[in-house]
Amino acid sequence: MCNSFKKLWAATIAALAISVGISNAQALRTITGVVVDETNLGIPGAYVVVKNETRGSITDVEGKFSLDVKTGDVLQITFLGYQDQEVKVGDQKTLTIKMVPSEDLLDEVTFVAYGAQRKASVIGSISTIKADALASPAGQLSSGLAGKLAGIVSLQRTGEPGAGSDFWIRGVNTFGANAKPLILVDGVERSMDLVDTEDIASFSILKDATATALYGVRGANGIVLITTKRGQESKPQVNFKAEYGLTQPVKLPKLANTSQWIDYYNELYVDAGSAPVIDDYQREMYLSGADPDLYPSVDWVDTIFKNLANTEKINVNVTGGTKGVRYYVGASYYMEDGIFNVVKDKDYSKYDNQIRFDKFNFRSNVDIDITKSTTLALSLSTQYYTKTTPGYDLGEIYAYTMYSTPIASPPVFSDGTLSNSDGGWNPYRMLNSSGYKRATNIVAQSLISLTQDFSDIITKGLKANVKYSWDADNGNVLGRLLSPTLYYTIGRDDDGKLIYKPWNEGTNYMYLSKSNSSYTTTNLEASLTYEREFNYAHNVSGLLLFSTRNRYNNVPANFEQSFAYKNMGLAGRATYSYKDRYFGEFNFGYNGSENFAPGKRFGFFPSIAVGYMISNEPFWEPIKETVNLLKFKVSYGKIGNDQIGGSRRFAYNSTINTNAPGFTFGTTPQGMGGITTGEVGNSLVQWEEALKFNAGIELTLLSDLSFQIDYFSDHRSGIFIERQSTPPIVGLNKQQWVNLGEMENKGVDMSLQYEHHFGDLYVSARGNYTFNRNKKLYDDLPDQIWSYQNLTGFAYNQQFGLIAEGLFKDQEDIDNWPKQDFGNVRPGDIKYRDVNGDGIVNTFDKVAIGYTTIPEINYGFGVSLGYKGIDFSVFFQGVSHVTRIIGGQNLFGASSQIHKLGQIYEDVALNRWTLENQNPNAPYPRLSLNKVDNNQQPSTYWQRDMSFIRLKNMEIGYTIPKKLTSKIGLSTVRFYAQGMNLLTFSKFKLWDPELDSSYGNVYPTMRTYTFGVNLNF
Amino acid sequence: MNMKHLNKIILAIAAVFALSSCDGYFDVDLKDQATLEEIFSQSTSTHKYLAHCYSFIPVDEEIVGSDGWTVGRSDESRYSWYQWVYYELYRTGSYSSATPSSATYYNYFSKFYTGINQCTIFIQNVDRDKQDSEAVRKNMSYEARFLRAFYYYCLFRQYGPVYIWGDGPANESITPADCDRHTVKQNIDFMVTELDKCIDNLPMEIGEFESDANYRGRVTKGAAMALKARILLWAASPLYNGGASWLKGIKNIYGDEIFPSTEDPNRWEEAAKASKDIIELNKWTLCKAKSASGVAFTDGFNAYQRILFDAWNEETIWGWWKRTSSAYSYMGGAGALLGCSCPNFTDKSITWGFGGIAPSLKLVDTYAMYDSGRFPVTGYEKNNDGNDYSRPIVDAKSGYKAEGWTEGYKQPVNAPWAPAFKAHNSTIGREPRFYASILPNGFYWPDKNSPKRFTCYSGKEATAPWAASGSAVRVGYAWVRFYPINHPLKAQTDYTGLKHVYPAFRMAEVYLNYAEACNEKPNRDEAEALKYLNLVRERVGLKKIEEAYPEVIGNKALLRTLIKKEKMVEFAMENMRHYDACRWLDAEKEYPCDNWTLKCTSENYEDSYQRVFDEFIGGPAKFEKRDYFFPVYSGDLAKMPNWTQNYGF
Repeated sequence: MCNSFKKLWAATIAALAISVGISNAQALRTITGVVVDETNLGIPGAYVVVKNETRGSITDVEGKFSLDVKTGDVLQITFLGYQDQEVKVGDQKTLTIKMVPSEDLLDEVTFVAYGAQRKASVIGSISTIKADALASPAGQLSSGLAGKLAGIVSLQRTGEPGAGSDFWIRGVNTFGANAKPLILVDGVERSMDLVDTEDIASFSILKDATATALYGVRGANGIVLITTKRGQESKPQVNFKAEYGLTQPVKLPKLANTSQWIDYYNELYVDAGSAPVIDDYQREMYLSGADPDLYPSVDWVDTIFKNLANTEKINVNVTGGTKGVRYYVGASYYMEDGIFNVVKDKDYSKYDNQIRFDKFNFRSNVDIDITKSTTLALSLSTQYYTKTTPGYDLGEIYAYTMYSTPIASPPVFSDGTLSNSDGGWNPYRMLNSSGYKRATNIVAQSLISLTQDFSDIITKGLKANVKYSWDADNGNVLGRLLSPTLYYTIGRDDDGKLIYKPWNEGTNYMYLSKSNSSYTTTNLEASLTYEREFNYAHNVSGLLLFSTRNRYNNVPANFEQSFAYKNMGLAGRATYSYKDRYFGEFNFGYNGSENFAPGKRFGFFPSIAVGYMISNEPFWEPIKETVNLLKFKVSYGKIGNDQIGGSRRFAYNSTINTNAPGFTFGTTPQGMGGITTGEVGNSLVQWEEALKFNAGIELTLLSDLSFQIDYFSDHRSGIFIERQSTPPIVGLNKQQWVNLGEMENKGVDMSLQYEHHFGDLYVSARGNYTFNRNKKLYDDLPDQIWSYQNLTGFAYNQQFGLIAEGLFKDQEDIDNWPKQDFGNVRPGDIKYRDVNGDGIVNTFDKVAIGYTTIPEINYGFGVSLGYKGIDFSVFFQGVSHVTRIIGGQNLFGASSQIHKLGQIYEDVALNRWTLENQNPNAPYPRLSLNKVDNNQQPSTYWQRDMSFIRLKNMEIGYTIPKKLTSKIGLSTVRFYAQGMNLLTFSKFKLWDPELDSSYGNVYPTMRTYTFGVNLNF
Repeated sequence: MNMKHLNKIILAIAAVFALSSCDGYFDVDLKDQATLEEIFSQSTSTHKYLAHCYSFIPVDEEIVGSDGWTVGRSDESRYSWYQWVYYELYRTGSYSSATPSSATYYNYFSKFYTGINQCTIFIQNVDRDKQDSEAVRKNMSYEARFLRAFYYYCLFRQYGPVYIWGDGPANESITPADCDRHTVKQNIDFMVTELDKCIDNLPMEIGEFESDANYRGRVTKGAAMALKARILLWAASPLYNGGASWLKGIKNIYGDEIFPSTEDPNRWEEAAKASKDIIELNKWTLCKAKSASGVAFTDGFNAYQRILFDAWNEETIWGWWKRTSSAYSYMGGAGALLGCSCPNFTDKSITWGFGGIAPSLKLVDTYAMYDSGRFPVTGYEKNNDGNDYSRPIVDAKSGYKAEGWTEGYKQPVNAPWAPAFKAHNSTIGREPRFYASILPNGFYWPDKNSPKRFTCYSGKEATAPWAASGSAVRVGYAWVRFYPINHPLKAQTDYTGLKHVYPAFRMAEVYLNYAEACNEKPNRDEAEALKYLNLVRERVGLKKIEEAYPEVIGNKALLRTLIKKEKMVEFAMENMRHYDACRWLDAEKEYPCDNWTLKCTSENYEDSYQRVFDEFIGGPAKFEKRDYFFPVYSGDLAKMPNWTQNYGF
């Protein structure tokens, strides 16, 4: 039997042995002993059993035990977190057994699809990260992953409290409906961000065909496998952790100040042939602040944002077990508030519109041995989280903070009257007097599993398992919204009082808005596994598994959604290895999807993999000390995907659109709805297929340095797309969904790890690198008139634009240049290259430029140091080969309501082309009172390199010596300080380059400083 | 281990494995999906399908951001509020087949083909409806047939002749290389043949079969006759009848010349007959004032107002309730146009007054003089950029004064409460349609509840001052034709509450079409031409044309010119002018000009009545030979590689 499994089950067997309590009565004597840790402190709760016997004992509070033994017995001592020890009993009366902390169990066992394998035998492409490396002050697990694992592409696209990250494995593989990986928590498809990091026992990503084949349909984009902690027999061990953090935006755009803005505004008018509209007197009034009601001068960023916001995180968990029952229970609380400076207005303070995200997690994982070969596991988990926000979306408030001009309106008039600029918006009142919204989500997850070991009944190594899970996810958003009357002023009357005009017809009554969502999901899984070693050379294992999944949308938006979303599959795996030198593995998934017509529903997805561990060959012995491990592996297989775009279900089914545009008839107008043909069914629609290839090398040198590299390719065919090539004269109102798209994705990922103890100094360093490049091969779009405009051959979402050649110097320059077909051009406008040489610059001259907004290169590297009680770690993350075409009115200038909403960035105010600054290489072109279409074309002029390297995480900690802490009954006390997103190095300066925004107008990412304490007892 | 446990487990595993062979696990009894058969088996849903066939009707009434964009393209208007309503693109000729569909309002190619396909589906299925009588079904079938012809016409007016599927369904598997346009003749013949069938089968009133109260606005015989008359008039006009030399000889892939190479003068006879057929029905007349005021001028004004503001009046042959494109939906159908054309008074007495839609100086100049009945301006001197509006050639006999002021002027109509003021001479003595459509700088806003003078220049006392950007009347004349007098515009509901019927075809057009055809046809009938032209003039109190212009007798060319001017004024901003100017081949001569406006940047009222061309940003209006039709978008062309693109693109 496989060694790792022996260890996993040792405690169980030991316990069973004790419970059965069969004792051998011959020639026994009592021995006493103590089990101590590396600091010579007693370990309570350790198991001491006689090998191959049923006699055993558990150590007491001081680590002592007594046991009946006979000479020649071998004692096995096991304790969680320490290597198992075997001690042969001689004739001594007492024993002191010193335990050595284990390399984590997870170092030796890798979690794979539906099980665990010895690390050595894994030949699929799998990356695993230690659970403690996932700890980060971020509220959501996905936000802490960037750069941590080879193969991960993770981008934090907004900094809103409670927001997670966008996440792919090895980049984007399809332009079809579903490019995101499958997330499995304890084997069940669940949301990653709902898992508390402290509850995680292992975190792996499965990348190639052999690792994912068992999941068939759902695994095509890679799989994230998370297992949660379970108990082992020991006395209760308590882990407590509390953190307090301060957050601030990584970067806020710098806006023009009042004086810069007034100059800009006046210049627009001068440019348009008019006199400056803000004369010297008014300018002075604005700048002096003498009359802030009539002449406001507002720094909106300062008004709307706080300097710092807070996070709090508390986690406590207890693990342990007695004979036959093991448990892990955990609870955590997380809170994060927003950086908006909510002001409690005297009239509207009766409600709470603070921006705040609260999350509670509870988990209970219990294992019960019903008989010595039957185990029942019950895992219960609930997550409860709420988010309160003002009536307006945070992104909207943020955007209007960026757009509103310094002189648009006062935040509120000095007499307390609510203000809103005439023709603009007032972010202050959007924040403070718009009511509030409260989103609540309650998630309950339960899993029951029964495992039967047939080793003693049928054959050794055979097990069966039945698992059933039931998950519910209920959410609602409740809004108590307010829209009070707002006023603007048109001047002062003869008495000097402000003359107010109502901006809207408001009301002081709040009104209710509500929406809800509810999903329940059930999974049923039954499996048989077999694992055995023959003649100490042949390792054989097998798995056969059947699963079904039903997901119900309990608040469906339409009839179609009211049917359960079903999956069904049969999966199998067979592995063979010889003396840990040669490995072979075959996997298959046989999966069904409801989306296809009867007869087309099931797909067969096989994969094979072979591996060669050359370092286990006898001839390797001479250099084994230097090159400890060298393994080659190759895998190839086919995976399927059944998700169709546009929320389309049952693709074989034609639909009728009963909500089509209608018409108004009648002697008095009477609207009449329309009905029309809807989706065109396609009985031939089949699986989208991925052919995945992976080849990798694993290498360990001098016991300290390990390295792995994988090359991968993924070829998708049959991607679901709507037909694009039907001539428009046919007049179809809906294009049929067909299996026509084709795409490939290739790349490498690699990681390097180094660990060494120099006496008391512990050093570890790690780095990883992922490169992937995808390419659209077929999209059914007809050939473009200019073939360089075909999207095929380029990356999915490749940016296209004109090639800018600087700015026009003067009219002569314009006259000598090919005509630009985007409206009138004037000096200071962007000039573009006539790519096809037809004498006219138009959209036909747009070519592929730069990259996409998802980086091709993702990497991370870091160092950890430990010296006695002090530990320090630093971690950098970076991306490159990523570009974005930026825009938005802070760059382009507004073209209407400039007076109220025409704020621009300071950089634009200072450095743009103007009549005074006729710099043909200015970073911003001429701005105008009117929209200048020519300057807003996507082009290299506005394309920016969004590469960055970021000091993602830095942590320093101190653990109080155990000698001191054990006196007060604590085993570990650690204090630490941690910073996230501390420094960012990027060529792009306007806003945080990671944000998913071409305008920079989304809630910024946060920098976090955290202080925490961790107690174990 | 106890064998009972084992048995149970094995049983459970066996049970779930047994399921795996079951494809039926995924069977769904959808039942939510009505099938086409079901939809057409019931009266209500069949009617809704028909309503969907109607939904493709172009939003011609929306002249800023939708199908009515040709108003902005023509020489009758000059929008000041143009930052995001791409009309600047058309005016300056800055478009091509590469212009993305996001930046155009003319890219309706696939939309109308979708409508055509839907109508065909309807025609093929309507007889499944067993809940409606055969008469009702037949009626609906011919309505869909009319709409299909109408959508071909909508394509035809933008792109010239297009591919005709005929009466059958579209062939979904047509080879892209086989798609090309059919000839002008094939297009016209198909539309006319189809319309003839509709004329034979459609009722005079929808109320003959179904509830008139619920269904007024569905097409009737009159609509089919009016569309046929218009199409035949177009077929006779130079653009489609051998007049455009540059279009001759262009062949489609089937080997046919797309445009006729010689004129067929008989087309005028057909056009005349088609119009005359409508007249002879004696069903529709021109709108008259509801009650006589005793003042002909006022009656003329009131009659003209009723055209747009009195739903389903006696002049409307076919029309529809005004809709709006989504961009303006918050103001409601009628309000969208209204808001865009109302001045933005500084006191905000009009919410959503944007002042953007404005008449061109040419349109202002075209309205006739009331007393003489003559059109004041016969043309313009030319400069490098076309027409120089600062140098109009004034007809001395018209009584028009281009310069000077009159003190103590009383607004002749629509604001009897207004005090006398100083008015520019060019705004005095014009015909009723002038005052019904145009509010010159200095006049009173015609809302008695909010008495206020409208002044637009740059001085501090101006009530709707000039602004370089955003919302302002920048031509010097506000457009009030869309505003019902004395209607308050303070709240959103004041806009959304306005419900008007847009007259897609009205009798005045039939009269003028008939007059035009009679003047042009080989067997010229001057008496008929004059008679029906005069009916349109008399409605607004203008003299008979032969009294105002005795020299018109026997002068075909002059009569042609006068009919064109009459039509430009009568149908101002009704989305008629551009298609007329094109079919007459006039647009080349008439459109090109600088951006002429009054001098609204001046500091005082008196100075603002100068004509300037440098206050508008943007290039001069251009129109070249290629611009008679719009290009088929390159994205559509890519799917039809052999399609013959329009001349010049």
